[in-house]
Amino acid sequence: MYKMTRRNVIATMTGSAVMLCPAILNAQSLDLDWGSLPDDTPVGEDMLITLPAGPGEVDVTALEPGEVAIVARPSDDPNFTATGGVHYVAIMRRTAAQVAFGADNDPAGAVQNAEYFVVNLVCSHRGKAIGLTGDPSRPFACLDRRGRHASDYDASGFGVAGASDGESLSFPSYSIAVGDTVVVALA
Amino acid sequence: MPALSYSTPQVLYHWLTAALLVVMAGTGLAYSYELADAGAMRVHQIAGQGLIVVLVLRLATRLIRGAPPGSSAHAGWERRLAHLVHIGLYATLFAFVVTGYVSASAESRNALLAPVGLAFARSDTGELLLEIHYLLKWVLLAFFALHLGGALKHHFIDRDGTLSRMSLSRK
Repeated sequence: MYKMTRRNVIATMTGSAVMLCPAILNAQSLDLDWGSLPDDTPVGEDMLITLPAGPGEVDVTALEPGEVAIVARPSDDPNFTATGGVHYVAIMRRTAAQVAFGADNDPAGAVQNAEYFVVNLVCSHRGKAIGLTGDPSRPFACLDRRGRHASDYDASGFGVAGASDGESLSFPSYSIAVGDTVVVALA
Repeated sequence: MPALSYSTPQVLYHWLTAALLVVMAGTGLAYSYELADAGAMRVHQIAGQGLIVVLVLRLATRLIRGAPPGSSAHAGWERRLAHLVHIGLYATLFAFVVTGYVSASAESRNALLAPVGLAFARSDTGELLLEIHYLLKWVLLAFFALHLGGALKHHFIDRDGTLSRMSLSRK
């Protein structure tokens, strides 16, 4: 019968053992500031507006530059399962610097008014809720702060850190009327 | 009546399983520690689907052909422990790929051929399966340690041919 040599055994077993070392290290996770918050509900808004399911209008005239309103309405879209079946939309009135940033970085066709940035608060990775950080350069971040999750997004909704790095937040179907009042109509 | 040695496909499946696990562990580590981008997770998921195929083939072959009997030189407790460890490895690996598959289905951009429904994958049950997927690596590690320890004992202490039965060179 063929007998494995000592070299065969050492090479094979060492390779197999090394295989599981990454698995051990992989168990580590990071605890950041939002680590204890639930990851199904956004945080940090200046105004919260709840709507019934279906199309609706919201008046966000009171928003000051840098402030964000969150609109919450029930939805049976499976994309919003991880946010408890609630479709959260952020309406952020941008600062002048954010408007300038958006001019260079907003996804084509996604933003209807440069001063009012409207975006879904659902992470592009696994659909967790997005919170508002108060950081003008990274105003959106996933509530799931475990390890590699921890997605951060810039003022154009583009992922700049974490699992969604390089991906964009999704955008709702909406229209906006800016005059004496500012009204956003969500489809 | 079971064969006296493992067939060539069984030996191939064994080492293919090991190779796929190396790829999955490596890509998982690289992604988790930001040594690689989301492409590593795509490779992780592709390798995981390959592992599902290999596991199904392994189980089918095992059920059809059986496993060679343990050596009469082995003590009864050794044969029973080896049997339990093999069952544990199979069960853990199947649980590992199933929980991983459901978890990957929750990702907006995944590399799965047929992801499960988003509503289920992103539900509380889906999240629980993800946590179980993470925990199972420790169970797998424990079974692997027993598996490896047994193989080394047979080769270096007992000096029997147990380990050589899984060698491709004899084929």
